Amino acid sequence: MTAPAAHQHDWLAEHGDYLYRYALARLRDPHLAEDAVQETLLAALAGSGYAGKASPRTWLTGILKHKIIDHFRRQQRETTLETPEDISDDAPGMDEFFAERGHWAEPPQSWGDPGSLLQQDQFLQTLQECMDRLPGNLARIFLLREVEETDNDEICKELEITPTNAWVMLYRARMGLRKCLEMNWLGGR
Amino acid sequence: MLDCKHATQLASQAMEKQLTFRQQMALRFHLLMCDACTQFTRQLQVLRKAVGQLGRHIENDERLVLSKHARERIAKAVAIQARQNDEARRNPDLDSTD
Repeated sequence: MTAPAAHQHDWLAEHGDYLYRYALARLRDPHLAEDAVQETLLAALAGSGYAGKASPRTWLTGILKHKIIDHFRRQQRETTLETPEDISDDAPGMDEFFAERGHWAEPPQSWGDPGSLLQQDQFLQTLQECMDRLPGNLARIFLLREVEETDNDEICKELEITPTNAWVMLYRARMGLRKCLEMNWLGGR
Repeated sequence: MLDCKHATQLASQAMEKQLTFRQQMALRFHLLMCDACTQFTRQLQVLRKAVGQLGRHIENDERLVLSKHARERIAKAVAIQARQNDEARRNPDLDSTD
């Protein structure tokens, strides 16, 4: 029969690190990324096998992508149960950013030229730290949206949340990140 | 008139989907008069680009590899699974659980 065990070892050797980095870019946690790689290789082994239509790497990445989304969904279920009151049309909890009559409490500052900003390691490093500080559910949906470039309908379907829920979380993630950057990067410059 | 709180909500939503014509007009009108929210919408664009870039940095950083420990653990799990598959293939009767 096909698919002897030796093939799987090759997959780990040839694609393991690539899959790990792919998972790390989305999960931002080394242990979760390692687990995702393991689950992927096991699933690849358990399924009907590699059909040889795409390259093995593309095929494995497709499996990994599903594993990552499964993980997001499980996490999402847990956090949604914890904070059901969080979700409403008017994005509560945003009052810290706005004063009376919907005006900014602290108006956003200019960040300067976006092109050169993206070259600055310090800016990117602070952004990473700010992402780490976001509540987990906000960080996950934001990564899914911006790194995976998943569109909104798909996010709602995959995470089993409503469109309102999705945009409120994305809004909060953005509000939290820009505030954090102004305090820690702009303020520290 | 749109206040800043609602303008920022629309600006964030605009990153996800096409706003209705009315929403677009309301947001555009607000931005014409509001520096703070104009900065905010620029920041949203920067955030999007920067987060995407961070993700690509990680994907392309070849120094990021599976730890020796993780690699061994995964290799072991894969080997066990492969052996089970082989046994199941050799003894198809044992594999049926119904």
